[in-house]
Amino acid sequence: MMKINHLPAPTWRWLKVNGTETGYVAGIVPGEVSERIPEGVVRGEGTDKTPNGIPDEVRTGLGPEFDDALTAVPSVVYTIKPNEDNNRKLYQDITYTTISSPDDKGCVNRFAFNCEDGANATVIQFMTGGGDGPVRAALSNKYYVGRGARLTLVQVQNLPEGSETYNDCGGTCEDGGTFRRIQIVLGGGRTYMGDFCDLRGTKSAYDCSVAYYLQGTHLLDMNYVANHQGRRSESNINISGVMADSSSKIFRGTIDFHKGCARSKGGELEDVLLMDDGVINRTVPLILCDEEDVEGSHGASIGRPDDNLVLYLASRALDKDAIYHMMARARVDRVAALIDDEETASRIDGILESAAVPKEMPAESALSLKRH
Amino acid sequence: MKEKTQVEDIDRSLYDFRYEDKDAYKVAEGLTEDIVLRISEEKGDPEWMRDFRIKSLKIYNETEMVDWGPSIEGLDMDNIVTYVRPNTERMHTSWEDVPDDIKTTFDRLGIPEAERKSLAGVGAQYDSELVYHNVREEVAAQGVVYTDIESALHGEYADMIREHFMKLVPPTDHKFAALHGAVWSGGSFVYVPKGVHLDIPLQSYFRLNAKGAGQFEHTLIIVEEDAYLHFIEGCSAPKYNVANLHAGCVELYVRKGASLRYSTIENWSKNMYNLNTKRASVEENGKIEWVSGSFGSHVSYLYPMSVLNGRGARSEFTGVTFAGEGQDLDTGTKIVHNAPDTSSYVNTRSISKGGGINTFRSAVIIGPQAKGAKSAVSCESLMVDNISRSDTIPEMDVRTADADVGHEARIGRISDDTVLYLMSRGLSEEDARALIVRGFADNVSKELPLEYAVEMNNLISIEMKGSIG
Amino acid sequence: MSHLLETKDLKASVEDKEILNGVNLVVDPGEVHVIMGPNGAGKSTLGACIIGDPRYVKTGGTILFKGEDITDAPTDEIAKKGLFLSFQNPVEVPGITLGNFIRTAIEQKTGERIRLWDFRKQLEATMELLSMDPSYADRDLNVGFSGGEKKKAEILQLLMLKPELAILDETDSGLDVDAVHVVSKGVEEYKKQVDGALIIITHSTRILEALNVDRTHVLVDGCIVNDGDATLVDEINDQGFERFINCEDCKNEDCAVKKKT
Repeated sequence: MMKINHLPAPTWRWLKVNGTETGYVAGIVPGEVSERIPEGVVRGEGTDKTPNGIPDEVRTGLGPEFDDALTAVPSVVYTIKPNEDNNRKLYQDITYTTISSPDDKGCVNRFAFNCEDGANATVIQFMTGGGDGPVRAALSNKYYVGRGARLTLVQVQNLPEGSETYNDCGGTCEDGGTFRRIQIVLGGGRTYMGDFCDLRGTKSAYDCSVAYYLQGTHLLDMNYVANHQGRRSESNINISGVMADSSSKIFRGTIDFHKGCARSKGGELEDVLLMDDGVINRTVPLILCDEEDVEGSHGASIGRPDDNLVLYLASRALDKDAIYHMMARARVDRVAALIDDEETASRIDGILESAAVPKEMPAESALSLKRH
Repeated sequence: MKEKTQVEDIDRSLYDFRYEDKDAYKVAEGLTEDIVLRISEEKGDPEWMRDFRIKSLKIYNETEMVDWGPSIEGLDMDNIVTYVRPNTERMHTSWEDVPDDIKTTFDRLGIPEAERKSLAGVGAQYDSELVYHNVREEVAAQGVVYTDIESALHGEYADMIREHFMKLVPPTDHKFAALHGAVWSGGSFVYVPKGVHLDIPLQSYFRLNAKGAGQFEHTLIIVEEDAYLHFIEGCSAPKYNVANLHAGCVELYVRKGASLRYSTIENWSKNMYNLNTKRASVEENGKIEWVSGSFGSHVSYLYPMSVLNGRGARSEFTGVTFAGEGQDLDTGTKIVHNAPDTSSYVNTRSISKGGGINTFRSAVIIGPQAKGAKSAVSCESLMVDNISRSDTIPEMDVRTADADVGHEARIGRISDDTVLYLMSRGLSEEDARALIVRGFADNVSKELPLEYAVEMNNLISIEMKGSIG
Repeated sequence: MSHLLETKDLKASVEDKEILNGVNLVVDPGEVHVIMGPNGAGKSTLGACIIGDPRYVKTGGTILFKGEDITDAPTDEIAKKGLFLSFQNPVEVPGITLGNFIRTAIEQKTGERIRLWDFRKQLEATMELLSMDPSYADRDLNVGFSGGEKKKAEILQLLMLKPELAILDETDSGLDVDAVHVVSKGVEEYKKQVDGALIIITHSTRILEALNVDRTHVLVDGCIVNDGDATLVDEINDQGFERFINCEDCKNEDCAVKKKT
């Protein structure tokens, strides 16, 4: 068994949130990647655990046991050079092969992004399945954001029902460097994901937005850490989602203020809409503080939508399912709107629209992940 | 360079006096079956209690040490004396009969005076035994029982004790609950009959005088239907250079429509390991209110828990924790919503100063049957300097869609603007800072009876005292 | 032939406080009714009860819409049958744009999908009529709207959803002259296009100027204490409510008004 998604400061064991045990055994076959690489981005390869171009050892959200397990697969390293085009986009479509049996180890992909001083780029990853059947996918993204650089990683996960996904991430931001993460998870099965952003530079920043929609027996297990070391560093973690049926979710989000990170700010917000009684929603938002001159905050709102809101919408002829569907859609749209890319936006819209089926369809399948 | 408030070691002279304990009877240090049997014999336990102690000891030996909180490495059970009987007959109902040094102790702590002024009844525990217990006549006439657990074990409430003792907090709960089950001694039993509304509070005061000793008092309170009680608990001890241990247990039963307010001002000395367990079970439309000020101890693990078992049951928790030099205080609360329309409200403040470590830890569990449950948790932390630490570790577990759960946490420092503003009105920086901290902690002080609020504010002022360097 | 709306001896309370003490009201297709009364009389409660706000407990009586008993029907079903309530304080709905919202509501009501192009054209034309900036269609519903914009958005929904009966709860209050003018124009347009019925809860006459009022009701302490035609509106405005409290015909012995007089 392997322990992943370690809570940075453990709590009572009976809550069972200090980490997650999984029987995952890494495969050695990469998922198929089709990509478009913009000018000034150089593709290379590395085999070390810490790939070329990524200085120092990088911690990740899923943790060292998982990270160590993937080393058999070489990492693809992209070096992003400074360029006048601030809207450069690296598109990556990762298609995972349907597993042949429950023991099939599935696919492993490792990427590393070395965003040099002053460089600016957006990486857009779509994760899809090669067929209608389930996949087992492991993905690791490591990043190094140089001085004044800005890297955005967009991930849209749209995997077949019954899939098992490990989506790991971790990296470092130098002075004035910003790492933005935009993630949209449209179910899929069992998903484990995390990010460890080491804000070691002065005025470095981490901006993470995640939207999810869980239904059936989907499980989503998350671990996000903003590790503030540099002065005036800033982090924002915004998680919003909708849970239906008997889906379950754990969100661990940590703002860790280390000594010396004076005048840093960290904020976490979680907004969960619960649709059915069978859901299990767990939230563990930590603020660890070893520095006086900081501002940290956390807010969570969990439960039904506000009564006034439901009445207002119902008075305009929307039934409960339509209201919930609309609210679910709104949460995904809000995060999707952060993606500054028309192609990606319309692609997400396409997935959602094709799922926005006639009203006779039960709501729980309204945003379903049927491939088209 | 900006000037900072420098902090002296804390002046606890008010609490930091002690008497020789050479005349007292004590068991040997450490924890063996033999020692547990000696305690049982000494206390004249009924047979079931003796068996319970032995069973608890077995659980203690089989249970793992906690691995998630502050370090308790400095606590070696082999060096702790689990039972110290003060050199006196067990119980007195008049202060005059209490031996002089013990009486002087409580006098200096203001206990008899408080009793005269504002309390319905008082209990005072010195080391392992209750030395004084008294309740006002008119209160007793209403059928209110306030006595030591040992007397209750042999009197007309024996069956009630047996039915409730360590049922809310079983010895299997955690290692120190098992320890408590094995070596408990002293503490109070309170019974408030149906419909009785006590307007003035009852108080217990716990004083641990013996060096290297443990205090393991058990408090059992039953508030019957539609009754009301305010119970106040105070604790202190002189400082020694060896570890002392407090592993008390509080079990509160709040019946249908009843209401219980449980207030604590904890000011143990800074060699104390305070591993206390408090739990309330609340029935239909009942209410538990915890008011908790934690100032003392070297290490604390303290999370009063409310189990809301009846429809409409409520829990309110208001707490402040002040961690100064040498203190690692892990405090918070747990709430389990087991019934529909239950609600919980948590409001805590923590202050870290002089290298002190504060951890706020909470759990809010909303079970599938708790439809219509509401919970709001708010915790704020104040960092007074840059050598201290403050962590916030909340957890929420929601298993019904029909719930409304809110959580907010904030951490920050004393605003320079506010200090400047107050100084511009003539306050010294030290006074300005103390004033701000007292204001920050007013969630608790305004819930306390006046005398206790004053005591708490004094504690804050003592803690904040220092020179501007 | 049944009436469009009929409340029979409707009683309702909130948090154990009686607010409606037996309201009888009959509205036929195309009619315009005005409900006036002092603050706290229960005017908004009546609207909320008709639309099925679950926070008001109906303690007696029935509500019939087109002959069907809707007393205990859920709000969305009541709305689907053709009833509309314009809220006094429209709720802000982050994340859902005004345009998408109206489109979804129409699709829900009709059960048919509506072509985006057709919808946008119709929406833009209606917004123009209400002097609304078309960019509002892409803004989150009511979020950051001024009071006037919120009310316009309500009238926009009224015109797009085309209900058979609209209850306007103080839609004109707190608006400046221009905004009232726009709202009135919208209501007039609704009469013209749909010829729907209206129940207008108001304190003023400004919104009524362009409409032919059929009946006026005076609501005091949860009872309708007087009825009249359009002229009653002016009389009340001139002389106040007190003169028009008439309990002689009322059989409600529990009524608070009756107890007072």
